[in-house]
Amino acid sequence: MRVSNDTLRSAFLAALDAAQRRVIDTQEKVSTGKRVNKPSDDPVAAARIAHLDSSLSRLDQYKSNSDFARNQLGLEESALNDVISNLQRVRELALQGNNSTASDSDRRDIAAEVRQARASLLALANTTDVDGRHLFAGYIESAAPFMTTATGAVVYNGDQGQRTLQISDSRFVAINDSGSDVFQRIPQGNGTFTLAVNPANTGTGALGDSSVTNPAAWVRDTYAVRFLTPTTYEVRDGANTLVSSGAFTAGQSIAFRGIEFGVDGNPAAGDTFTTTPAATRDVFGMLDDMIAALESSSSGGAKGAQLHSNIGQRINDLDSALSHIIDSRGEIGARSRALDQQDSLNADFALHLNTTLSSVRDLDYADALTRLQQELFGLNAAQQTFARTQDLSLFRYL
Amino acid sequence: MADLLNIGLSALLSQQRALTTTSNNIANANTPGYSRQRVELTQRPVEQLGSDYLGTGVDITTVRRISDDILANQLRSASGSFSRADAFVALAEPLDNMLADSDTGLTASMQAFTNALQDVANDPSSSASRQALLSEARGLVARFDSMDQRMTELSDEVRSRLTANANTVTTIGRQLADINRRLVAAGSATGKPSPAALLDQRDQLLEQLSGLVQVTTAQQRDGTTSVFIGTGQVLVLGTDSATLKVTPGNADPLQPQIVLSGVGPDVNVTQFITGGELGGTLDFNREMLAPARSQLGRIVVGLVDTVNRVQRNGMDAEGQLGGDFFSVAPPQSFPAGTNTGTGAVGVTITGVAALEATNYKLNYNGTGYTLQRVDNGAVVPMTGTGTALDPFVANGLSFVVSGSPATNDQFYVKPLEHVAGTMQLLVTRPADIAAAAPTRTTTGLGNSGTASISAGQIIDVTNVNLLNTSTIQFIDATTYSVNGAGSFAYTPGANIDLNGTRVQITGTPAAGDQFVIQANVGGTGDNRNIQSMIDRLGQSMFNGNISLQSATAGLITDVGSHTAEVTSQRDVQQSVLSQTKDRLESVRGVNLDEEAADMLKFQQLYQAAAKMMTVADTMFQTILAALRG
Repeated sequence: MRVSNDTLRSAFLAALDAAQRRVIDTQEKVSTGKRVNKPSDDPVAAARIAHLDSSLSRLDQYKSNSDFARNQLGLEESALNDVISNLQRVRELALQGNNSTASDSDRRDIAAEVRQARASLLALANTTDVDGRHLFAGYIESAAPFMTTATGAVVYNGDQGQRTLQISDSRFVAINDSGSDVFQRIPQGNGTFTLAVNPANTGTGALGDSSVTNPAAWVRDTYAVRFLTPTTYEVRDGANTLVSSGAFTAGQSIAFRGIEFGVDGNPAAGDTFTTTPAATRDVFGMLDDMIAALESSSSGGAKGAQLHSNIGQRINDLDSALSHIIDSRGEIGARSRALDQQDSLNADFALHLNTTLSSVRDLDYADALTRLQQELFGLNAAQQTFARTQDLSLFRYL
Repeated sequence: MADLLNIGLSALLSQQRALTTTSNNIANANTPGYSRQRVELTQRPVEQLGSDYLGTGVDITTVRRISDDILANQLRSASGSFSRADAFVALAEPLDNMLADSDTGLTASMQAFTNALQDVANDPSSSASRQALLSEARGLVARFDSMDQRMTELSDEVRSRLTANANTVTTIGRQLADINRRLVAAGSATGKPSPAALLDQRDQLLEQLSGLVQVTTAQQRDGTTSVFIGTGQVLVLGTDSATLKVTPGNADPLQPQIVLSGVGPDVNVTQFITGGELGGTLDFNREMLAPARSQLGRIVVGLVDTVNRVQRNGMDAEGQLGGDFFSVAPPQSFPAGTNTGTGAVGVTITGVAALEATNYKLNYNGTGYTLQRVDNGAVVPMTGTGTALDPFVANGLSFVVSGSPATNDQFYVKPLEHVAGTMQLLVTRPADIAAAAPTRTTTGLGNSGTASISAGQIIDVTNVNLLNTSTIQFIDATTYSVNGAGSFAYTPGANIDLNGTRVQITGTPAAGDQFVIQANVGGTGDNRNIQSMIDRLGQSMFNGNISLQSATAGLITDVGSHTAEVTSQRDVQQSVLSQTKDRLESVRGVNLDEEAADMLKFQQLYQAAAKMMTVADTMFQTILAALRG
């Protein structure tokens, strides 16, 4: 084929142009370290990169959500730890007060200390975070949830809202518990029924331990246990129907309808003990009851037995409150563990995503640098041959 | 003697002409479009001398222009294909680059907005996190706006490129008609040699023209060349040429259309223009820019609709029901410029999920309407009658026809293409972000059963009694009353809808147990609504299980793969073009070494002929001396 001078030149120029373009393209990839710099470099990879980038950003956000949750749960847990040690102290005090050697004046001192415990419990229930938001107020976190009314009772002004945070695409964790769940709605007594002693009793019979022996046989009702003689009793339900009767020996349990409770000492004929289905009460009310029990007089054998019974029942209430709040704390611990577990899952996932992202987006440097070397060599060769061949002309020899 | 001189003279003259041609070839070696020339020599008629024949010298038959019409034609076709791809790539690259940046790209902005929502969900009372959300929302609006601006700039560039190209086509057409006139004047009918320079000029102009639009030519008997562009529209016929203009579109006044105005009435030739820069620019506008703008518009409408819907369901930090978060412009519709009736079409979006990223044409045939997609030409079935009470409904759009359209009137509908730049943030105060739900639920303090109530979900925010308190009280373990009235059977976990709030109760209730649904007064710590916004933004938004994220990925893939495809087309076409050009150049191009050899050859012959003249002269002198002698 004939070759015109123009062809010779334009072919060289085209080759130079192409070689330069390849060098620049590779150079851009080497300088950014990325194989895909714009969607057209690899459209499918570009879409995947966008997807992976936003997944990674979401994982970052989950980490920050989880840090926030851990912080809130930590605050709540430490508040509940204080609440629990407070209540345990009250329990110790109550046991001291229930000791037969304690005098009325001892018990008044103990009651005063219980009052202090109640005040600090109230402060704990109104705990705030660093931004002044109340931990136990539900959604209404800007106002103190627990307030003392004119009558001395504590009311709850929060709601039962529970805020959840997202810590993975499908997992949410609650970061607060409402005061209503933690400090209110605590079952009294043993959770099934409560016991009371008739203030008009004349004997020294005092209430002992109570329990549910057969839940299936239990019928929810108010029962009155009346001693016909110091050694016989009968049980009547709320409709005054005879349910059971039996002989009594001191220290022995009285059992009916799947429940039983012990009576210590010697009840007199006509003495009555009543069982009532357990209701719920708030922890402050329970402490109020405790204070009232501690402050009642113990003069006379019957009164002493009544005092003993009452404090015993209030200690039962306190145990129920303790176990309720310890459960709440356990729940918080479980959530914190869930956070840790999810964090580590998220970190694993992020590592996996980063590896994928890198394989999709990042440049194989060894390969790219080798290619750049070759391309530069090609460019150089093209330039040199161009210079050489341009020198060739027959006219030089004429 | 005279013969000898004559022969010598013919040789001298012919070699002189040959040297002139060679030097002209050398002079034009770098002239674009120049075809090399050759002096064609023939032997002069021989004379009979007795039984012998004697030569009488050499004649120049012609100075031939060496070119190849078939290759020239191929070159024009290759140049048209290359220029189309090249113009397309030049416009596609900015769009491709716009979607590239992973830090400031669309996905990153949307993720930043979602992350800011998460921060508000973490701490809804914090005005700092609400403020941060507003600033991310502003960033998102700005991102969409800047993308739209970039696309509008590309659209403007398309228009000005088309205008410039159309003007050049017109000018070239006029020049070709002029060359035709001069060829006719030079008497160059078929078969006769034409002035080589005019032909070179014509080929050069045709080559330029083929870079702008696909060209076909037809050689006429009178020596003129007729030129057709696109799929056969007449640009030059004999000595007449037409004008190519760019005017606002008939269907869509915002899109340019190309009009050919020749002898007859103006004709819209937009859809017949193929190849060259004009074809590439039109193809880019139709195949890439318009779909990308519609896709972006659909993403914006989906996002705005989702966020607004959830925000309206919620309660802000001041206890008010939420208002719209963002706004976007409604769909546009245009009656075609050729309409003779007075009809108009109002279009609204009624179902975001069914939206398709395309424009539509609504055609009236005198009795009924048909809706046609612009992107693939498919006819979309509509329901309804087109009145305000019963509008046409198709693909998430409602059409209300007013006025009286005439038969064959057409309406162009743009539901999404223009909306990305019209997005605005309506919420300006951090407190106006509706993070909370308007109602909450409470379990009665004295409940002795184990039943619990869900946090509640708003199903009808427009219910006038939404904020009223409802008390669900169990009559026994299986029936309950609402606000002390009625007796409803209790199914654990079943939906209970009261005054626009939906709750579920699970577990075993006891007689007398109470659950209350009430206004979420003071509930600043509630994040249920913002949580549901995050949830909804991650869910499928459009039919076909397309989420916001997959719609964005779809846009990136579409633009990227189209750009990659046309770029590789361009590279292929470039090598086809250069091969064709090489082939043509190998026929018509000048090779200086060849010319140098020719020059030597002609020079030597010239010297020989001159020597012959000397010989003739010597012979003549010899005879004269003999006679004198």
